[in-house]
Amino acid sequence: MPPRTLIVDNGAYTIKTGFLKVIPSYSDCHLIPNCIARSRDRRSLVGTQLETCRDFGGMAFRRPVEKGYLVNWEAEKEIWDRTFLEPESPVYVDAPSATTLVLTEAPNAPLSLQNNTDQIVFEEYEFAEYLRYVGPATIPWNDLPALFSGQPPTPPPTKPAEAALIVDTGFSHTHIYTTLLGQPWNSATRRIDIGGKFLTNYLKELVSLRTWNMMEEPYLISQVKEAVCFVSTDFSGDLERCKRLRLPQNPIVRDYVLPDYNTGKGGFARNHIPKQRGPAAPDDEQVMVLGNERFAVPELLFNPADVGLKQAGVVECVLQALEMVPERMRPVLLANIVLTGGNANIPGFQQRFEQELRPLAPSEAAIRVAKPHDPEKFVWLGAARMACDEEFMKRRKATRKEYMEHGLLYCQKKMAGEDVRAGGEVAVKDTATERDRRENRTHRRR
Amino acid sequence: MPTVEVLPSKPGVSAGAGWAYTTLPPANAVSVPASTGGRGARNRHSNFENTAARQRQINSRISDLEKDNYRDVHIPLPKKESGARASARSKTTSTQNVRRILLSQKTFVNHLADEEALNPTFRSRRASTAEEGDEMDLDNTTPADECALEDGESGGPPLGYARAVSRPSRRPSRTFCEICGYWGTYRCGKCGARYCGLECGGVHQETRCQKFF
Ligand SMILES: [Zn+2]
Ligand SMILES: [Zn+2]
Repeated sequence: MPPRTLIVDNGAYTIKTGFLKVIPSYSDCHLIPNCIARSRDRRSLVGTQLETCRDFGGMAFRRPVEKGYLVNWEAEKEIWDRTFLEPESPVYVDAPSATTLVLTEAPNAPLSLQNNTDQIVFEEYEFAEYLRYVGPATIPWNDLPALFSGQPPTPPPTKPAEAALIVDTGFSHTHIYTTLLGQPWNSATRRIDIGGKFLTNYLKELVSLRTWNMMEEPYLISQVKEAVCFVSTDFSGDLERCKRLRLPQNPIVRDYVLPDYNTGKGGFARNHIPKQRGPAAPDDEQVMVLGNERFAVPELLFNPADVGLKQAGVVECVLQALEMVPERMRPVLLANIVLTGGNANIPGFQQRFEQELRPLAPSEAAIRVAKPHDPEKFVWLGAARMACDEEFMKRRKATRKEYMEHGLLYCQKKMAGEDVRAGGEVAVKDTATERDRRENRTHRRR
Repeated sequence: MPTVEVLPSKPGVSAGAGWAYTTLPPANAVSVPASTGGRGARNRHSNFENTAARQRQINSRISDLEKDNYRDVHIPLPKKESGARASARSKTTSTQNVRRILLSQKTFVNHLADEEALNPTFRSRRASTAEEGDEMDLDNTTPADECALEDGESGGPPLGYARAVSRPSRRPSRTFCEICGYWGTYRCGKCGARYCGLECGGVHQETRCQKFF
């Protein structure tokens, strides 16, 4: 009997997880808050318990994933236990010893953290088989040609895409990640230390300085961010418009009506209603007025230096990454850019990205940028489709038996695609097929 | 009268060739309020952006913006449930490795330090001083065409955390009014905060100014 396969994209904000079906789809993927939250009445809420909460005032969060990397297993185990070991959970793993786990990690994870994770997976959860793989590196298993042509994806198994330049912008950070023939081109990986959390905190700082003190309200402010923020395609123009126009004519300013946790009334965004304009706005509501904050916040993804961070924005980083790739590969990468991660959903992100990139790329280069239907789950989907690639999985996954017999290092080498003691022929075969594929490709290029 | 200073539009910071966004603040678009700073103060302040003190200000703000919670709070695990459910979920015994990992209080920074001690090539050579400027980090700028190409073509092993970080932007930096978010043309001579004009400057002086020098 083939074992079940569980796909886990273990993000800092949410765990994207679900079992592998014959044809993986977004609907098989569940979003589990990856945190232990503490409400102001001092209750601890683990993972999905957060959804039962109605009062997010003053809520504090403990997140096992720090800076994008799984650091605190004490908290993560609590969340994983409730997510995977409780029969009520939609991703209940009834028998880990008959289950394959595919788990993603951020690029360039410190080895000591990888060791911890691998040991927990094999020694505590006792999964039968396991593959830890870099999240964005799974993207090429998605049907990218179909994505670019707007077609529905071909059911797996498919071979990884020839080339992909991935912009993965999540909660903790943003990565530019390049793959050729499904293999990561590691020297071209670039990280920007701006992610969704940073944006929320920046918005929190701005409104606290200017209107309401929201320093203790990260949850509310992240909702405000999702409701009103956009990436400007004319930053100085929009900044002028916000300055020069008096409020009623200002096309950018919005109200966010703050939630009332006592009555359970949720918060919402609306067009700005000036205070003195009569009965349109109920008196008892509390309103946060947002102007240039709406676009100055996501602007950090394109200009981290706006808060003094000495890093380049996403588009400049794409060019930094391309410098590290052989010149003949650059055109095919520019024509295969994929935007993933939650921030790719911010309105205007894709337009601004394309607008900034066009003049910086060689004028004869074709630029194609695609945003999948659900950028948040696209790595999960890629990992699921990768798990359908039996030949690849056979080469890369480590079994609990191998762990017990050959130890941690052996398993890590196997997962990383390196030569392993007892399996030298695996590596040889690997190189041969890789070379064939490369040669085919080179002919096509020329 | 507040101590103010108009920032000159810096020569030599024009956008690099081919850069599309040259959204420099309109540096001299506003009439110049009288400066009472005097010559000495002015020189001191024009170098302010490059001082170690300013860099500390920026670093502390950035680390605030990376926090999960405004205050440091300890959030304990919920109390263990008793009875059948709890025992079905958690194993009665864990291995020694697992116990060690679960008890570890190490932060990401601790793990990173361990990694770099073990493998010094992962360390970024970039000094984190205020004077660093736009100096490029040679660690990750070797042009690709000098790397191994045809034979066993690959992008090499993973760079490691520190070396994978983005290099600084080549664009001129921008500053914003702390009060209203418009361009930060002026700088408070006392604390370094930016503001856009007289009105916001006044608000800053009355309510926000944290005397720095
Ligand atoms: Zn202002
Ligand atoms: Zn001041």
